[in-house]
Amino acid sequence: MYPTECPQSPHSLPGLIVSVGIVLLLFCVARGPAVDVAAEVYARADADFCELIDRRLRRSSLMRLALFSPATASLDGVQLDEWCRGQRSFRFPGDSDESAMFVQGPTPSVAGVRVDAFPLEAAHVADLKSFTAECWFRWHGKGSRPGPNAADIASIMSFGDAINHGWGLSLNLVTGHVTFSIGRDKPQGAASITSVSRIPPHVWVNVAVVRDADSVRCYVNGLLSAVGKGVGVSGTAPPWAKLRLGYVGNGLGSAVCDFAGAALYDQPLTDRDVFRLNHTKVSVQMMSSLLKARSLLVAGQPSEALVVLWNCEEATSQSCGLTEVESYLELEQIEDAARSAAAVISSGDAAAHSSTHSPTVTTLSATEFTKAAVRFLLRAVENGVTFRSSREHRLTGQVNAVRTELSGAAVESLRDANAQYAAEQLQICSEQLSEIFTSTMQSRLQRVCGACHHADGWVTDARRIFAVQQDVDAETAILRADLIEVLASRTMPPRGSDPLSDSDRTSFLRLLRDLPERQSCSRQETSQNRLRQRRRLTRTEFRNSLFELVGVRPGDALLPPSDGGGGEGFDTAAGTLTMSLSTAEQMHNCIASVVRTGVREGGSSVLQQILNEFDAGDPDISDSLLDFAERAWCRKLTADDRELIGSLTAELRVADANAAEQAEGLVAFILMSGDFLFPWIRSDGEGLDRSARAWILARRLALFLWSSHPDATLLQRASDGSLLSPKILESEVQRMLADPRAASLGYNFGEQWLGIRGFTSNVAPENFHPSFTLPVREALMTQAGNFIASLLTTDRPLGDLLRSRVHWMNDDLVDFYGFDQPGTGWRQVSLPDEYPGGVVGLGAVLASTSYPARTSPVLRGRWILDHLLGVRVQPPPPDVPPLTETDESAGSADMKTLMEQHRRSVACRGCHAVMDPVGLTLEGFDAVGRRRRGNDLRATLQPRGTLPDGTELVDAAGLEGWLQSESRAVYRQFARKLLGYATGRRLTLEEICEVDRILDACDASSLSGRMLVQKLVLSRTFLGWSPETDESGLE
Amino acid sequence: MNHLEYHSRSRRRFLRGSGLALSLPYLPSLEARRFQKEGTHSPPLRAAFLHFPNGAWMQDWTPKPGADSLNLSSSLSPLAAHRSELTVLTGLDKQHSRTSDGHAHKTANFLTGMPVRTTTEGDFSAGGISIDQRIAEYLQGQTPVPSLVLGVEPIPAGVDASTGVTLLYSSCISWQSLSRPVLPQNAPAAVFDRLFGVRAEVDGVSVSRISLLSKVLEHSRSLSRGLSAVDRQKLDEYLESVHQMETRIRFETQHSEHRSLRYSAADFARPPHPEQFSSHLSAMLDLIVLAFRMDATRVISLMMANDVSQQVFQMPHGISEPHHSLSHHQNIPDRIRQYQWINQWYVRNFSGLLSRLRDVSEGDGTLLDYCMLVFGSGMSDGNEHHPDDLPVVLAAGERTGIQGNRHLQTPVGTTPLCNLYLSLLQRFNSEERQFGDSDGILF
Repeated sequence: MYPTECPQSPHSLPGLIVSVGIVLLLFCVARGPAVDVAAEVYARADADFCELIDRRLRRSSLMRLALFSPATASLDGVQLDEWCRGQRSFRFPGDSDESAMFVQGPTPSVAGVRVDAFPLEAAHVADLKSFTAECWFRWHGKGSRPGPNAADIASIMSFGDAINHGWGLSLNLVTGHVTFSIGRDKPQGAASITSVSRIPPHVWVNVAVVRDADSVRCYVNGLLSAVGKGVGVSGTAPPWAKLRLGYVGNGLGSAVCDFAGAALYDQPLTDRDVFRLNHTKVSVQMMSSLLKARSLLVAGQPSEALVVLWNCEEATSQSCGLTEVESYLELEQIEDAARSAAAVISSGDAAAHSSTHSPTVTTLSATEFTKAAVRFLLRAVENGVTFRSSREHRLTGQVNAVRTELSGAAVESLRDANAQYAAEQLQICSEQLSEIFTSTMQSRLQRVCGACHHADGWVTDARRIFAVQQDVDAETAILRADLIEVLASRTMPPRGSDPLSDSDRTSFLRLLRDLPERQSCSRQETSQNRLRQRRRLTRTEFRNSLFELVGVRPGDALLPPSDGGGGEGFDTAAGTLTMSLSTAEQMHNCIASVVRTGVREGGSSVLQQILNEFDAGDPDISDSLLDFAERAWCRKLTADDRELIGSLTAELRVADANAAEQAEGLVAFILMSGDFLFPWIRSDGEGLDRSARAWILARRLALFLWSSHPDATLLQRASDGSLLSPKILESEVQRMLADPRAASLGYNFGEQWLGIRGFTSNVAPENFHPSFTLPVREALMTQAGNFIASLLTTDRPLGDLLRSRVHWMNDDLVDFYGFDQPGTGWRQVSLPDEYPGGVVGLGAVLASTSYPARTSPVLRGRWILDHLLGVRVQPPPPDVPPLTETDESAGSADMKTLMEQHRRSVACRGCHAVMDPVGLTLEGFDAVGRRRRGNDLRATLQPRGTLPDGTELVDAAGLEGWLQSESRAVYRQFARKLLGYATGRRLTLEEICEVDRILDACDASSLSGRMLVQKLVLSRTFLGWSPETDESGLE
Repeated sequence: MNHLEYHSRSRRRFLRGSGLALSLPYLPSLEARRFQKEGTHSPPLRAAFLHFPNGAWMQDWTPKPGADSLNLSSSLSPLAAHRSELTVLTGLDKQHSRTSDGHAHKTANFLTGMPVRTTTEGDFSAGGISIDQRIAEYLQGQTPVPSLVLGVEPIPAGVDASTGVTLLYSSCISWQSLSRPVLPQNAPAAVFDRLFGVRAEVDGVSVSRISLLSKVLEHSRSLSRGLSAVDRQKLDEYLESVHQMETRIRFETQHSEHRSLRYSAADFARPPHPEQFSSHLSAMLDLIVLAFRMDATRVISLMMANDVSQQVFQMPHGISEPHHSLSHHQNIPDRIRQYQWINQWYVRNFSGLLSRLRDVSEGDGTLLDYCMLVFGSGMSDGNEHHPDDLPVVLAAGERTGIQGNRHLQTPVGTTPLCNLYLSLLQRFNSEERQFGDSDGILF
């Protein structure tokens, strides 16, 4: 029983109801087995609209409460007023407990209506911690506030008193925003969210609110419009609490609204569910169109925006928001758009037209644009009336009212405001669409991959993979590509765990591939080359450059600490080369010490010359010193430079320094200057003359190819500017590669790329493998460096990376391998065919991917995937079940059997399904990289592994064959890393594309290392400008 | 105990070779005479922060509750001799490390307590200044060297592709600012040179070094033109460093009475580059003692090994697996035993440092009396990478006013590690009320 209920005289009912313009009919309550609670109220809606909603509610298997039949009478009638004053409630016919009560708002002239839907037991509704409520309403643009000083907030739908208990959905009568709140007057437990969308007057809208375990959300027309973390704390609703539409009291006003239906679901619907309730389908194409239209509208090109939307509707047979946009655009603008489209067609100059527009539009080809324009024009003309009526429907009465009252200027500004509003709406709409898409895809990804990868960055941060945006950063693009790759290759999800059906896989892949606005290789990105950048010399470069200039090699203890690394994984990464007092001090001490030794004990010839000039006591500044400064700083000296050097010379003389001390001081000064320690590594050349650009290029070239300073020849080419000519640049690259200094490509780039730095100190101590002595480890390291250096400096083809078994060995290594290879010093020796070809066979690689006591197929497999193929291997998920691994010396364990444990576990299977078989093929080689022999139990086993696609790899030869089939990826990874090393930063997607173009332009496997280096040097990525543009300008 | 023999052997060798001999019968009297004129001034406090990698096996780390005094666990048993200086802290945490897996986010902020940014690029960040650098800032101008930042293993080049971070994070715990790491020095000879300053190595140039530095500053300032803000910042870091060098030379001319200047590099041999990890660590510990003894600096951090360290140890029953592999012990008893053995190895080295500090006289007591040394790791159990209930101990001499021989327990999840740091900072009479994510002090 309800306290508000009061006895009614049955005979008076029909008249009353008719007189207030509302007919109430009771429908049977249809309780679906799965849904416990729902309420539905129809009031005063257009017949067809009500029917539509009725159908939809039936289809959603909701329990329906009551239907207010269609009526046309106005709400603010006097009869209602009387009815309200009576505070009487209406009892539905039949034996139901349902009743409704009409309550007048605080301002009698704008009465509100409150419908209390009684049959829902308060306790039942109050128990709903997670729910969805929605209603359709049409706001007539006015309402009343509860008191003179109260806010203009009107209740739309509520449960309980919407303040101390229950929740409420309210409308701001001024701004049109809707607010959903729970427990509003309890700040610590309040949840209140306000929509970004505004409710337009005179238009039917659907507003849905959702509360789930950790958030509250509000949707307008199916699109997410507000989200709040925190779900609010609501007091326990008393038994008389009501689910209400309209006026509720408690400080809230009433809005003059029509209601067409309301529903309460006993579960939180997802974004997608809510969207689906309102729209039947969201397509990628639709989103893409909306994004384009949005940017066009913002750019003040409404006609183009409409073309895009027309096109979308045509193709998808879905509403793409066209009517939304139209409704807010002035008719004149639409007609303008139609006219301009007509003009385009009639002039037949579609190409010229399209080229004058924003880049987004030019992505439509000229033909596409013409087609779109034709379609648009025809539709526009045919539907002119529709435009008009829809505009009149949807543009609020405000516009017309204001139009009559305001001046022309005000109308203009109103139009602008409307256009802006339309753009905003569209933006919100497209953002919400992409939001829905992104979160749907994210949750799918989490469902599919999350069981094993729940802690991985790409899963926890999966949004960026699916974010619908124009500019995709390289990392995200790579993530997408990786994801596509593993899905397409069926590597993931691992078989057996399978959470992904074939059709799901296909649709998932298609969505990923069709993500709009993926950057393509054809797009030219120029902005980032406009940077100018310096970075500190690395430890290695510092050492080599000092030697080049001073002629003295500093000892290791004098050098600054080793550098970290970043970018593509090298110490040359500009961002991570830092400077602190200790580093600076050590650099200075090193310079001082080296210069002192050079001056006193004989260093480079330049140094001798400088000393000679000081010895001669010439009062002028030493010419050799100035030459030296020019050489060290790689630029022409300025007057300021000369003056500074002059004043330091004078100071030193005043201090009574002898010739040697003077020379030392000045040379040290030159080397301590930032010009020497912080070379330019990027320069677009803007504002620089030819020679300055050439100097900078010379230094960068020397850092790349020699990890050192330019020599005299290179500096000569720089100072006369000839280095900028591609032909001379090519010949310089070849000269430098032939120089012994290019060995740095091995010991610096090679060691870092192979990931074997630290190998000499970190691998097994000698007493476990007695023959694996420090000299052997150092020799293996040198061997690995030599392999890469000789590949990059000679005509050896890139294919050698995977094929060649010819390695450099010294006596230590020949003994270590037990080869009978006479000779002295470092010599080239062929490994037997049973060894893996290329870098995989390098002892340094095989040993540094092993544990001291045993081999690790996992580490080896991972190394091949990560270093050679560029496949991102995720770290093991936390809480992996233990894998029993025994010491190799136990002798009984068959590594393959152990590995099978990995693959039985679902958590491990995915990654290990690829890593293990790849690594297992190398089981014939022990922890220090030698072929197993004799009494080693595993010497006789034939190592084999089966890839996820069923390919069986047998022994190292099987691995080599498989790598050959994947060789394109290997060359790409190698070239990419080399370019990343050279540029000292992570490559952007366009830059990786440039690597692809270089490799695609020829047969990559026969491309020689020398040519690869040359092509990379002449790339736009390395140079910072296109080499062709300079050729024409030369001489 | 193989390693102990090895340890002491290597130390003897180093001391003999380097002439850095802390020859006990000789020094106290000599130093006492030397520093008598320093008068009644109480010797200054010093602080050091030592980080050991890969966490600890907590069940054998946390002292057993119950007893009145400190009931040392077996992992901490090597510290028994220093019980009276010792506070074992349990329950401290770094809440900003909870958000991501992997080591980087636990290590780089060991001394900052603030969030670490996941990046491989130049926008790396450890969230804030580290406590050692904060103290150094506070003590600015009192010693020739503001602080020493030491390491043993070289800083690895490159990035961790799977977690997407620069490897810099696993080797740097000292940060001058959130984006400016201080790369640890790991060459003993270079650290040695630094303690003695310019005069040690390049006296020929030293006459004019100060005018040289001012010219370098003048010249390099013009280079920032046309650079982006980020690069300008890098260059500014260099200029600032040059300026600091200038400051040091000025300090040494203005404070000719400073104790550090009474030491001469000529009295010691430059330490050679150690071949073994253990002797390398030992050399670094010796340098801490020397630096404090000379009063060349009063705050030092030491990365005993980079995090994810793969050092292999010679244990009583053979060779261990690499340290990091073992730290993922998967709850297998045998692996836990080895893991715990390595924990104890680091504790032993820390204990060795305390002994060496105690062997040096200072004022009317020992050098250790004036030292506060924090020894800990950025995560607790290495198998789980938890940044809560961190293994941390504090050794504080009696003149620091911090009571020893106790187990300071705070409930897990309530007390930031930075509370300890703030407490130490305040011992330097700083009036700071906040450091990192601190919300109070411990003592």
